[in-house]
Amino acid sequence: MSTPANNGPKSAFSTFNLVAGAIIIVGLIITVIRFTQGIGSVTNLDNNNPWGIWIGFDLLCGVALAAGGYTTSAACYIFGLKRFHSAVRPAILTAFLGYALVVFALQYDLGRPWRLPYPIFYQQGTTSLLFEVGLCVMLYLTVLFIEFTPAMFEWLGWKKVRKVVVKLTLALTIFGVVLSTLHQSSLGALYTIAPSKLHPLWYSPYMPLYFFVSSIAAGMSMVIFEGTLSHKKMHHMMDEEYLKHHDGVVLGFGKATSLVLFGYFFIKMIGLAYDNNWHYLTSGYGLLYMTEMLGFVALPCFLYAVGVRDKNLGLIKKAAIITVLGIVFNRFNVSLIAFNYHLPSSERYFPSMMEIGISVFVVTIGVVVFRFITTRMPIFFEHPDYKSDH
Amino acid sequence: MEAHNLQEYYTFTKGIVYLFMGGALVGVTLFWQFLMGGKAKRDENKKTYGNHH
Repeated sequence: MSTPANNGPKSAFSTFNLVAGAIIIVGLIITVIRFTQGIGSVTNLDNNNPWGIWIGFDLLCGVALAAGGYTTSAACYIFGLKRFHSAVRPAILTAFLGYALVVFALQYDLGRPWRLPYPIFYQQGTTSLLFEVGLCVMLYLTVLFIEFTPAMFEWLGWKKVRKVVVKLTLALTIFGVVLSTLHQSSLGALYTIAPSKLHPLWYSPYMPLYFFVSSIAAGMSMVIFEGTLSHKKMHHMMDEEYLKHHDGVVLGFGKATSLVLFGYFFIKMIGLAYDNNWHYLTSGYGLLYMTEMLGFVALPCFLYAVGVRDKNLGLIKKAAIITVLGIVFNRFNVSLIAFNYHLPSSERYFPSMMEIGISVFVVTIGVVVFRFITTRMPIFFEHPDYKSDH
Repeated sequence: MEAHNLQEYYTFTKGIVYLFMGGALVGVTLFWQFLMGGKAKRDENKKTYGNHH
């Protein structure tokens, strides 16, 4: 097994470990309460609001932000943009962990983990969008795991198995793009079933398209954001090849995201025009909508464009943070804030501290596992035995 | 806008959408030029055509 030579011994009681440890302990306590006392003991969910922050954040945001996996691998292997190759492994790992945690977090909502395979293998609901989402997520998680395994096999020194999996790269990438297109849009389509519950500014028959297009921008922004964080914290794990391509990846992804956000802004405006919802813009929800569209779509689009023109990496990274926050804001608006907008404030949903605690717990697990893998496996560096393969 | 029948409604909404599409054609072209220009492009042009001036 290979580990980089500069990964020296470190104290187990670092600030990161202490904070992460405390969050995980609290998360485990809430987990015990949830699975022994029932969902009502830890959440503010009710019949009006059966889907809360665990769906709005853990699932909708998690899936959108994990879209960096299919966008990066499609750019590299389908569109032949080999200069993005160094970003593929971190993006695939982020996507794999993102989807794995989506499935993990879903268990808190569903409550009976042993029934997880039922909708796929035992009792299919083939007319349900949720069935399609479940099937796609299951298949895509498997695809992401297989796409991730070459790094694991290089670490384990399993050369023959690795060789077989590497040959599947293009097929897996195509399969991954198809599956992502399907389930990213299906998550938006889920909300088309509730035209009377979702505010007209967010409700649109084009929601599947909105969810899919915004996931591309979110995924690419997440690659930039995650790359920036890793650059700061995991710099010692990166080889020259990765560092050499880092700026090019940021510039290239910034350019692409700017174009996608520009297109997204236009299709949102066209949806608004088709449904003739202009009069809602002067209401309170209109202000929220304008904040989302101008502050979290138009602004990062412009910042990305200026950053790319001036080769200003700092500006591109700021735009990436705004876009990531924007996608969270949008998914919260659709699933929580603008959902059930007609209910009196006393009946509106606000997550309990324990619900928020579980979401923080899930994110922390993701960061810890990401850190564990990247400090051991060749994610940010090329394994010396396989350098000639690329 | 007050529509008295479905035809008036669609004439209005589709009219606005056509205006948007026209704006998009111009907007995307201008945005593409803005995005593809800048420092890098200027440096590249200088490298390519620098000796001819």
